[in-house]
Amino acid sequence: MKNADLLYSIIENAIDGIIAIDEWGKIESINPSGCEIFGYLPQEVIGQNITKLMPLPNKGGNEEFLNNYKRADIAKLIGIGREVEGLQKDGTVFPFRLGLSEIKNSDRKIYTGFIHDLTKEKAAELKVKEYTGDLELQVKERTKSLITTVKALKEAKEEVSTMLKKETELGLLKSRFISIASHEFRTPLTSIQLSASLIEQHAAPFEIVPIVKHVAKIQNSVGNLTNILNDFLSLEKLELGKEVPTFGEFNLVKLSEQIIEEMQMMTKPLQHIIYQHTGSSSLVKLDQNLLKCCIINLITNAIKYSGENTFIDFNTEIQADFCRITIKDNGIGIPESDQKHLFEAFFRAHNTGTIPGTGLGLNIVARYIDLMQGSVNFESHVNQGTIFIIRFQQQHEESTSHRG
Amino acid sequence: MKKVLVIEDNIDIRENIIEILELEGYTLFNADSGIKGVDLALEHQPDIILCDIMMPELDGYGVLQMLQKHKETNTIPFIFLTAKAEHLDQREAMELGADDYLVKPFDGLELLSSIESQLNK
Repeated sequence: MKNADLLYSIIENAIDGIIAIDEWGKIESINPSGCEIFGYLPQEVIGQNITKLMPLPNKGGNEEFLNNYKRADIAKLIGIGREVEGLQKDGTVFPFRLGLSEIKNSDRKIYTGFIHDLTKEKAAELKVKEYTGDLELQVKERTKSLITTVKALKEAKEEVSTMLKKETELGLLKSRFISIASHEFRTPLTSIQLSASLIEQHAAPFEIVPIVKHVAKIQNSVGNLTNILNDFLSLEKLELGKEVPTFGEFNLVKLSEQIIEEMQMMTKPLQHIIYQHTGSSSLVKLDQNLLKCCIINLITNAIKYSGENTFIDFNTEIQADFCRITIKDNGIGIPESDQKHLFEAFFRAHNTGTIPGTGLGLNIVARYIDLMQGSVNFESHVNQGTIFIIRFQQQHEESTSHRG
Repeated sequence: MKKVLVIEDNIDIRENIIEILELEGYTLFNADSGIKGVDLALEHQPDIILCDIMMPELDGYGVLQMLQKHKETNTIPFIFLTAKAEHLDQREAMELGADDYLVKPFDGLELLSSIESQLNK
């Protein structure tokens, strides 16, 4: 009976529980694993009905299943793994997989059930399910918050693009206005200016003081308006980045003398511009037009903000490695609290009173000098005067080699 | 007397320039468009031409280019009257072969001194 021994040993040592029942459900035998799974000793279950090992709701079901099986001989139920519930001795209900087989033994039938405990698997499955559910929830929440974020981003983007569009439109409008102001205003201004010249000429023989006075006022106002237009145009060009300096070597002394000749006509009574140059060279490599604008601007300010019968010192200095331009007046000066804002666009010092100006001149000067890689500084004391100092680093290899 | 041709589409400016120059004794021809200006220049060969830049159809640059093609007119001093105050435009105007330019608004003295300095060359 070696085979029977082996078979017995296999059954006794199987990890799955093995239970044999008769046609009526009476337990005929149970292996140790089966006992362990259900928590009974063999003698406690052998001879008992299988329903002892089934939880209540399943009892009917399984019996019915067995009855069905007996009655209808449903072959397909045999051998198929069913997931059912078992009842342990301590009342714990647990899941297991049941594999059922029928053994025909001479005159009667025996059913053998293989019981594979699914507690651990079920717990793991549950955990996975829980975890999955949790994950799904998290994903859902994340998705929701993502959608909200994306929506907010979209809205923000739209807002920004609307603002950008508005800004672009405003910029275009501004450019168009400045273009109109600087070009179209000049046409009527020209006829005003020429008419003023004609009135002056026609009235000259009669020497009528009020006419002379008012013609001068008209001409002066046209001049002011033109300066404003020029400032707007310069600023617009700077803003658009269209002001690109073209560096070229030129004679600074010659330019300075030319500027003084032009400016001397604009000075107040007994106001004198004194020019002095230091250094053996007079050549610089800068943008002549931009530098001219800067110097004219600073001298115009010196004239505007100082009184009659004063001197304006205009100095240029060229040394081996630098070029320095200073413009000094004895005017109203710049209040200390205003000094840090002086180069800001549209800023005007508080003591400028009724002296006309846009507050753009020094901003343009600073930006032009910056474009030429120079620096501009000033020192000022209220009611004593102001000195502006422009400085450029210069390399004079070219000019020295030319002269040498 | 010296003949001056004024090409300017704005009637106020044109009339003012004419009056100022006639008071100084110049003989004036004038045109309100570039095309008429070119015709008058060829017809009368003035001693000096004042010409606006921004004009419909034929602008100031076009007038200058056309006059440079004719030997009767290509040596006549040519002064641009420009509403463009940017350096680049001025440089551009000079490079095209203009002898001077007056940036609007200019006054009577600037106008006369520019004309005189060209005629005295």
